[in-house]
Amino acid sequence: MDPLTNQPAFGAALTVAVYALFTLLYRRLTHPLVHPVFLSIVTLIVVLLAADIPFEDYDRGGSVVSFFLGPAVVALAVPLYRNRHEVRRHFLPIAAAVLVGAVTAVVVTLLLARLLDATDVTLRSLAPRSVTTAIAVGISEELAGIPSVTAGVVVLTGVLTAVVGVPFLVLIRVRHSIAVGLAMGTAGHGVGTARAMEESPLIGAVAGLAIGLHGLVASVLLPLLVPVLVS
Amino acid sequence: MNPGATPENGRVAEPSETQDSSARPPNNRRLGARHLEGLAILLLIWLVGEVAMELAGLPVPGSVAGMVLLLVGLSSGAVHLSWVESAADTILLYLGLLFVPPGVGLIVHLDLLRAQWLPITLSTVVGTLAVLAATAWAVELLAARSDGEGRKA
Repeated sequence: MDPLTNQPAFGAALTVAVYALFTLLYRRLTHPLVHPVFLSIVTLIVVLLAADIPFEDYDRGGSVVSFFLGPAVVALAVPLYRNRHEVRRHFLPIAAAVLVGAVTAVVVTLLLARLLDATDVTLRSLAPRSVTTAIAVGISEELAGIPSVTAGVVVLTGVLTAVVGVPFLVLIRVRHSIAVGLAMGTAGHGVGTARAMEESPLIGAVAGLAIGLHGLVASVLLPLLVPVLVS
Repeated sequence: MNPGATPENGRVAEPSETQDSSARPPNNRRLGARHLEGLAILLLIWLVGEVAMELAGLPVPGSVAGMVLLLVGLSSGAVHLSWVESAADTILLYLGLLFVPPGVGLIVHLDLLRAQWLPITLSTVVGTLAVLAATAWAVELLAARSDGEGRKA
């Protein structure tokens, strides 16, 4: 298999093909559980395990695809700019709500994980769960967690938010577009934002804003809060 | 050969026909140039964001810093919306796809997930629902209040 799976084209082709397939399915069914990001990740993990393909081989192509996350995150400024009046009008509630979300994330996560006998290092790695990967990894290092474990739970959180976020917000009767977008971005960072983008450009833009604000708040707050919560 | 072929009748032009002077090829060429121009600007701003954060020693990702930079550029008029919007709208269509490879990276941590699955999954699920609810309710509560004051004023 090596000469095949070694090629960057292998991981890239597999990723795009699987995602394209599930996007078609999603268009037909539009059930939250068939979300293409979630199903593609699960399918690819199963394929790699079943065919015994090392992640490093897959990621030669995978990293080519995810490279474009860089310009894509920069591009979030465009929907944000188009909705600037709406965002500016609500800036104070937005900033305050991200702070509420950031505190809720670390307090609920750590208290519950402690109750369920998580080890100290698991707790420290779990703390920045809702923060965007690059910032979460930096915070994890500072907290003496395991950065690669943090990266894993960050993805898990994002995928979970993408799948359950919108139906859950509908269930608890949240209607305000800014509330939906901010909740999706604060809870599920980029993956939540990708899902929010499907709802409307305003919801996606606000979610994108929440990624940045949550990252900022968490970088300051977590090094202060986590030592208290895990001790 | 077929002068009646317009975009409205849904007929896709053959490559041989595109050499005729119909309106489609120049439009495509212009859109292609717009996309490239926009992508170049997005990549450049990303680069500036990365270098700036590295020099400042901040743990903020360069792409998030770049988002702020582009927003400042658009608001100040230094960057025109028309330069970046077609590239930005196109790339954002595929935002979900870009998260698939990092998600597959979970495969590296399956052992730890298995060993501590209960605290990890339960705190992630409950924590995520709590953050969604707390954030959304905080916005609705505070925005409703500021809207109300706005109307009174």
